[in-house]
Amino acid sequence: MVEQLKALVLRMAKVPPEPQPPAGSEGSVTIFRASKRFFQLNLVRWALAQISTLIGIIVALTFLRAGGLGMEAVLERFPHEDLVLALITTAEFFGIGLFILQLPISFFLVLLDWELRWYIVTDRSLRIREGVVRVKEMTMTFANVQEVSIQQGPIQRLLGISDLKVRTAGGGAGSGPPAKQRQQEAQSLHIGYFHGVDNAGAIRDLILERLKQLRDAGLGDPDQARLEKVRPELESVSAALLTAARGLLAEARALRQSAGG
Amino acid sequence: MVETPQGWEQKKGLGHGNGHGLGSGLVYTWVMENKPSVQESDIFAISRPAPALMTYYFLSSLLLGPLFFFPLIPLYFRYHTLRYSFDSEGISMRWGILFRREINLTYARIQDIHLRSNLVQRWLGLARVEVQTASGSAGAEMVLEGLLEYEAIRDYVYGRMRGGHGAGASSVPSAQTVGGGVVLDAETTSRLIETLEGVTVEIRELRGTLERRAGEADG
Repeated sequence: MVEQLKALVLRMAKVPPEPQPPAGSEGSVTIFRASKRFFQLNLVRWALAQISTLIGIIVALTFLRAGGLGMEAVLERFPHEDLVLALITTAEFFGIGLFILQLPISFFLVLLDWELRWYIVTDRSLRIREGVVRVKEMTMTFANVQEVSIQQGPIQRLLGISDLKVRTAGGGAGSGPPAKQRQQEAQSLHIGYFHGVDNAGAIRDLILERLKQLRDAGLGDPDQARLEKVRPELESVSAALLTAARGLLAEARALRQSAGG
Repeated sequence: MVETPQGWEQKKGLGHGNGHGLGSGLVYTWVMENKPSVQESDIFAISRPAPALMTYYFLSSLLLGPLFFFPLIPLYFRYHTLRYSFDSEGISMRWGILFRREINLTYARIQDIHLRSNLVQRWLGLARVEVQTASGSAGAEMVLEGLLEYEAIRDYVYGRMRGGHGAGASSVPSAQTVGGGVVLDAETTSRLIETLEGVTVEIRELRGTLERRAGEADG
C-alpha cells in the first residue's frame, strides 16, 4: 500500500529514476547512500517543527476564544456580527484542517528526501543527486576538486553520522555576518555535500586516494591537448618497437635456415 | 566523439516512461550495454530552446497573478532571441533585444555541471543545465534552459571537461608501462628500436655473407 502510494507520488511528480553514474572505468562505480540515522534525525526535526506549529495554533485559538469574551461588546457594534463570527470559526477550522492535511505530506517528503539521495563516486568523478520536488544533480571531476572536508555537529556525532563537503574552485562567499555566509555556503554550487553519511571517513579516503593520482593544481590546466598529442605518439612508438622486434626475429630465423640449421 | 558512459541503459518498466526503483524492485533495471551515447553532431545541431520553454515562462509568470505580463514580456523576448552554439571547444549562448548578452566558455575550464528541475519543468520535459567555471561569481556562469536533450548535453560536456574523459590528467605519464610492468620512457624506447633495427641489419648482412659463401662452395 505504502509502496504503491510512493510509486504514484513519484510518477505524478515525474521524479527521475536512480541517477546514471558518470562515465568512468568499469567497476569503479561506488554508490553511497545517506544513513538511516540521517532520516531519524530529520524526523525528529520535523516532529519538533510540527509540535511548535501545534503550540502556536493552540495559543492562537486560546487567545481568540478568551479574547472573544471581551470582544462581544465590540462585535455588537458591527453590522453583521454573526457573519464575522462564522468567518472566524471557518478560518479556525480551515487552519486546523490545513495543519492535519500537511502532516502526512510533509512526513512523506522527509522520508523521500532521505530515500532519494545518491552519492556516486567513480574513478574520475562524483555525482550527487538529491531533492524530491526540486531535483538537483551535480557532477564534478576529481581533476577539479580543491578540498575535501568533514563536518559533524554534536547531535550528528551522537548518531554517528556526518556531512562530507567536496569543493571545487570559484564561487567566492560574500561578505557579511557568519550566519549569512554559512547560508550562502550551503547553497553554493561549487560545493558537493554528502549529507548524513555514516562512513564519511571511508568516502574521504576513497576521494583522497583518487586525488593523489592527479598532481596538477586543478585549475583549468588543459589536459585535453596534451592527451591528444601524447597518446598517438606513445602508440606509434610501441608499434615501431614491435615491428623492429618482429623484423629481428624473422631475420634471425632466415639466418638459421640459410646456415642449414 | 564522445565516450560511451559505461554503456548503461535504462529499461523502463512503466509505460509512462518514468520508473523508479524504490523498494518494490519491479520497476526498472540497469543493463550494461555498449551503446553509443551522444552523437556530437546532434549536440552541435542545437541552436534554439524548445517551445516548451515558452510554456514554462508563461506558467512561471502566472505566479504574479494579474501582473503576469510584467515578467512575461522580457521572458518572451528572451525566449525568442535565445541562441545556443556548441562547438568542439566550447559553448556560447546569447540573448536580448535591448540589452544583449553573450556568454562564451570553453569545456576545459568547466568546474562542475548541475542538472536542476522543478515539478513544472519536469512535466514539460525540461531541466536546467548549469555550468560553472572557477570565476568568482556565486551563481552558475551559464544556465542552459529549455533543452530537451539535457542529459545528452550533460554527458557530452562531462566528456569534454577536465578529468572527464578516458584517461585522467595524470594517467599520461612521461614513462610508458610495457607488458608486465616494465617502465620505459619514450627516449629509451626509441633507442631500443634503433638497436633492434641495427641488430636486424647486421644479421641480414651476415646471412648475405653466409649465402654468398655457400654459393661459392657449391660453385
